[in-house]
Amino acid sequence: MARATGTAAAQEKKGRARRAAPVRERRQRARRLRKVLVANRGEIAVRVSKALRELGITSVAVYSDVDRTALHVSRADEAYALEGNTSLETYLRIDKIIEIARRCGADAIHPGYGFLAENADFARACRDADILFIGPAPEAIEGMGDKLRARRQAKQAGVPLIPGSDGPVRDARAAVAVAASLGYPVMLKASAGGGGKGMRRVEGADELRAAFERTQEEARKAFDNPELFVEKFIVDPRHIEVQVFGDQHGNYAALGERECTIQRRHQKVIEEAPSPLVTPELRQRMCGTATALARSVGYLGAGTVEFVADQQGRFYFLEMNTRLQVEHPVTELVTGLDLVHEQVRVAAGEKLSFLERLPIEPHGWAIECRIYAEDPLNDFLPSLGRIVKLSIPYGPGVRNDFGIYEGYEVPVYYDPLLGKLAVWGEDRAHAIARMKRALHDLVVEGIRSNQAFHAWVMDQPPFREGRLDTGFIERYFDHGVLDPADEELARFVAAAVIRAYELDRKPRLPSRARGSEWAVSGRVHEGNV
Amino acid sequence: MKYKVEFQQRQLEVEIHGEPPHYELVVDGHRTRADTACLGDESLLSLLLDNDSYLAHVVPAERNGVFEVSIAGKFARVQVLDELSSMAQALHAEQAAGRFVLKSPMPGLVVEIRVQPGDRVEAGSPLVIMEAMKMQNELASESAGTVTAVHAKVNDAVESGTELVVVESDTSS
Repeated sequence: MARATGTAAAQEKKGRARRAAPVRERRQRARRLRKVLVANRGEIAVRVSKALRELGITSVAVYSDVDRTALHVSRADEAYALEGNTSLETYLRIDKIIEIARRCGADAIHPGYGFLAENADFARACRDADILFIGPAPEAIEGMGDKLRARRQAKQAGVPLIPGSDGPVRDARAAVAVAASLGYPVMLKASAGGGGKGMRRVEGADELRAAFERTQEEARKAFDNPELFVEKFIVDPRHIEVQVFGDQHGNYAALGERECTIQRRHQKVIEEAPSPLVTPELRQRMCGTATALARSVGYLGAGTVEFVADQQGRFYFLEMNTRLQVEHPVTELVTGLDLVHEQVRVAAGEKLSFLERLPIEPHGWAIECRIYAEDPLNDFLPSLGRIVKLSIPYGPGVRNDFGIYEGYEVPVYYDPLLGKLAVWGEDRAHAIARMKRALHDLVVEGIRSNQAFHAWVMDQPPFREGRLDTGFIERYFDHGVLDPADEELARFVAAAVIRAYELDRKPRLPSRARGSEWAVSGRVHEGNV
Repeated sequence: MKYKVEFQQRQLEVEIHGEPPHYELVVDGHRTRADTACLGDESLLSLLLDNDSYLAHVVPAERNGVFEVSIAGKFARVQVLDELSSMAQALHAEQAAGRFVLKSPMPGLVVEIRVQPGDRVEAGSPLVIMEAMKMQNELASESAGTVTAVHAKVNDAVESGTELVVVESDTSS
């Protein structure tokens, strides 16, 4: 970490030296961005408002009724109520957010990730209201939001695509014909799908015929668009993505890759940078490809080009996310850059700060574990309630991005992500050792989290050896691995028995065995209680 | 003190001796020295078991005798039953059978009896006042019904588990 920080400090120094000259440009930025509204909640809203404070920009939070007590509200400089609780009545309400931005005099809006971050209408509404949207143009969001358009764009830019139907298939028969030319297994996908929704692996023609209408119906219901396409299924795939950036001066650059292969039900759980699969030569090709795509759409700000890779390092375009990723901290840890600073700067019209450092090779190794409020012993269902104990790890090489505090009540309405635990190490083994240590230090009580699940992953030989594929959890995980092992039994028993014994010895009646009727001690003559 | 511990489908006999913060545990014949310290609040327990250090979060669950324990992110429910807890369970069983038997939950002195056979009582109605450890405590009926028997007199010194009052539940309520 010392070295990573050193890099960051050196970078900062270089940045300052370079920026010292164009004073006018800096003043311009300062004038343009005095106040930024963060249209989000949770850890990312906290993360963004930290960056704004560092940049000397006033941060504005918005909040739902239950989020009045959320951390992002008290960490911001100003906060405005959205009124209501569901996402639909609050963080997804373009009209309310624009109105607040106007009322408070915000120059810009940072959308974070999720909610309105990839909503072209929102970006357009910002533009119409003369408020800077910290992200790409609405046209770029739209272009990348539609899978088929994105594929066409990628193809034009020379990005390799998974062989497939090259457009929606008319019906089951057409799908079967395409599949026959590709060879099974194939993937049936909704044009408008994403985040793991609206896709199905199919092993043969009969199954494909059977699955087609059902998937179409699901796609129509979920995305209001029944279009499906067919593509080759990559066996034992890995999910590797490249961080890209563009500014308004025609500069496009990639900041290396992140491996996000450890997924559960198509949702990322653990990410790392760099990827154990990626050689410097492969990195150069992936980064070059991703940069070409960003350039081809005149991309502005932070974006991520997601690839699926096979175990031989052949990689294919999956999609482009037109926003900051949840897992951006691992890139920050190995590059020493602050991606939110960078987003704000390029949105305000500055050049990318790291152009002189390109190509950027990752320094050391970073891993991130997403800490979710969910119960791994109860099928990972969300675990709600009050956080009665919280101890967030710190120390060498540890970074945390959390949106919670001790005493905080995890609300029912939103994503169960409590925060992200990230570590930096000199190499992968070092990073894994640090993550194990950090997970050991983490205390979250009152609700259940997936902390022990992460610790389990860190101990698995295939993970430690970097032999990853997206089926990792499905293949190796079963709920029993999170139960206390035989050698751990004694400590659980001792803890419970000591507590029971201490309660039993307390000079009050009765024991914990009976409760209510003894609660009236000493007040018996005052009548019924 | 002896406990019956149920944990992950296993049953263990655990004996515990000592004074806070030093205990000796005998788990199925195996002895362990335990040194404990509460860290800031009573649910957070630093545990030294033969000097092996663990941080445990322990809270009594809603169900009698069950503790929720988490250590380093792993979580388990551990049932710790002593005689009283077993009795309480037996009591619940009787209650379910339409009969509430008030038993003395620990040794003490009967200072007042509020009911006599034939009285109608509600769930929560006080039946007996007992004194123990210089504190007076009210024992209430857990079900609505009619008092059918009173087995104790004022100034009786009773052992824990002594039947004091029997209430027959009225099924209509």
